[in-house]
Amino acid sequence: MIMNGRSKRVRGAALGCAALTFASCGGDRSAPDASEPIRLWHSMAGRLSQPLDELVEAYGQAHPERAIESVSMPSYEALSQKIMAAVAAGGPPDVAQCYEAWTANLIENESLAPMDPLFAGPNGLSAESRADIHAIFLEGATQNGTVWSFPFNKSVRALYYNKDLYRRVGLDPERPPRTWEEYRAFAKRLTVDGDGDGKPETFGVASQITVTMFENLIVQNGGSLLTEDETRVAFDSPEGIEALEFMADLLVNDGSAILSQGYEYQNEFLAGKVGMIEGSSVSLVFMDGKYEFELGLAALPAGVRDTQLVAGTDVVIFRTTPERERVAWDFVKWFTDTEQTARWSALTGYLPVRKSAMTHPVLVDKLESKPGLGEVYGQLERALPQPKAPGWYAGRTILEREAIEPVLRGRMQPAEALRAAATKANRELAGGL
Amino acid sequence: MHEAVLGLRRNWAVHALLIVGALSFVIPFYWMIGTSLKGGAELFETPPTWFPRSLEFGNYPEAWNTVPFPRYFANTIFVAVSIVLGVVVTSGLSAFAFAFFRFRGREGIFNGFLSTMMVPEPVYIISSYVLLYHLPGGGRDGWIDDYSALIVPWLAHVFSIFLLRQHFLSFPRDLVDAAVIDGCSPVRFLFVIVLPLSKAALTTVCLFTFINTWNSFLWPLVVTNSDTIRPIQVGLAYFAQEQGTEHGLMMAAAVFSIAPLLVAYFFAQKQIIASLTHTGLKG
Repeated sequence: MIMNGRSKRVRGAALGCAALTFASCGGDRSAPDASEPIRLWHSMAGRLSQPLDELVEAYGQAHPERAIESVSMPSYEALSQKIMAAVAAGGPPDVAQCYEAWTANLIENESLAPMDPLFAGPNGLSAESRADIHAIFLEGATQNGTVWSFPFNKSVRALYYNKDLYRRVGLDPERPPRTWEEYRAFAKRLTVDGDGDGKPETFGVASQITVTMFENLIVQNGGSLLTEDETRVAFDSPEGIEALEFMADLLVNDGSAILSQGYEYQNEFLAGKVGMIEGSSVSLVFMDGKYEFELGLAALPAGVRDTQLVAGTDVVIFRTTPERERVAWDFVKWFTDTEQTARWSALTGYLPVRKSAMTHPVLVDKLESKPGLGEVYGQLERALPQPKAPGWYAGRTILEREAIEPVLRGRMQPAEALRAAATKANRELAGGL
Repeated sequence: MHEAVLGLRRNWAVHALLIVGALSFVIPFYWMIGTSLKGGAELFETPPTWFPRSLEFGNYPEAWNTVPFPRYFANTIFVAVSIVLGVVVTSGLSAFAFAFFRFRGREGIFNGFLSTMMVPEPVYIISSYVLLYHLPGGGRDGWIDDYSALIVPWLAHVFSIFLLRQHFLSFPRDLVDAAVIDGCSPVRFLFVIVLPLSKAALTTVCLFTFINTWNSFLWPLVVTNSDTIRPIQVGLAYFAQEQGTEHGLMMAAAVFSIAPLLVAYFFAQKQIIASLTHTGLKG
């Protein structure tokens, strides 16, 4: 075509620009000094961000010389990306919320400050204070004998039910199901096709297609997700197959459940169309004021064992300077102290980190105002920690996509689906960074 | 007479089809506005109510006041306008080069550009963050948490280059030849002939870029810390949480966050349709 002659000059200019860009890339930035505010990166948004902001502000008022900069990332995915990017760039925050499986990666690349020296330091935890923290939380935070994170926003699963619908079908509204077999039987009774058109107007249960329910069913059935040393999966065991078979019966074969991909199942429940759902203890604050029936709240039904996996995240402290790490720890310690953790729990439905918080007036009032909530919190005594293997974050997604979903959609049988997912998840566990 | 009746009937059929099509676009908007005016339990009623029983305007002020929306709006407009200006310049010039210059490796470079469109965001987000962090200037974290991180990486946009190049290639050879024979310089050719003939395509580029920027979420969230520079989508995400979504508030926020886009679209509508039919990219 036309106009050839200028190409060289254009190319030259482009190369020049590129060279300039790279040449001006500086080296590592020096670590921030102690006067910079302590950075807290978290994923609390919506009804959960205000309580956090209030507490952060209260800390600032009590310690005017130590500013805390709270950065909200209203999505865990974005938070995980941001943490990875900041660590790769050499500029991590001081404190961040973290799932167990992210922690493992961060330990491996030496980005975290271990907690034990902070516990033992001058502003540490006395033996008495440490014993006040629920043992399961510290157990979940420990990897290879070292505590790497600290419980921050932990939750348990709970049973939510519609007492009005219970009455309508002749169930005792003060007697929620205590076992999954009962749950299943209640679900059938609550599924009512009043006008006989073959389509029920009310359903027994509603659920998301999620691995969470399976995780609790398998541990209640005496099985486990991973082997004891966490090097291989164990969810394709007979206990696991039985758990998934039960789940398929309950949510698909009985015809008494509404299944949804996302969180729509909660809306069906709030609309009064569904008798029971299983949800997080935190769901309560999101349901407030959105239903017009009498809400029942109870512990999760039990299987062979009465237990479940604790959900939610910890916080970690990043390696920066000893002074900054000390201040970061001081904030974490303050936030999880009896007074603050009681307030935090009362406002959000996350579990109090300390046993002593259960007798704090703020929490006592809250538990009195919400019958059943005490029972829900009490499940913590019997709960188990999440697996910690770094490959499990990916393995869990495989379990959900390749076993739970195809089975609930009727495309696969539980045993074959779990076996196929196990093969793939084992690869993640073996090669997972 | 007979023909007129047939024509009328065909018109009816066409119109009926168009009405169905139009409804499928309008209903989501109606639903958004309707939901934003519902309160409490009415949100989840089944069957859902088409007209809110009582209009609850309270969701609007509540959504507006829960999140610093005025600031988010100002940020988004500033960032979007800057990016649009940048994209028009960079994609105009590079599309011009790809369409009218002949140089070694032209097809290779162009294909290289296009191939970058296949790289999904999560793949480059970390390395881009690291690069911005180490760039000189800016604050404690380099360009992170600065408007430059929101704007500069997006100043070149491959799809816009592609769109403009296709448009430029559709110019008749005679026009180009005539310009060359008359001694028109490349710069003059660009400004006097090419750009004035490409208004529709440029409008499309502007609008697409504007909408993309308006909707971007993960990138601005990862490269910013301060509420003072965050954009509008971050505000919307505030209402959609893992444990539950605040539907009424979310819809109210959605209404005022897309309002500027609708206004922009109404003004640019004619140009967009012209350019889409012209490039063969019928949407």
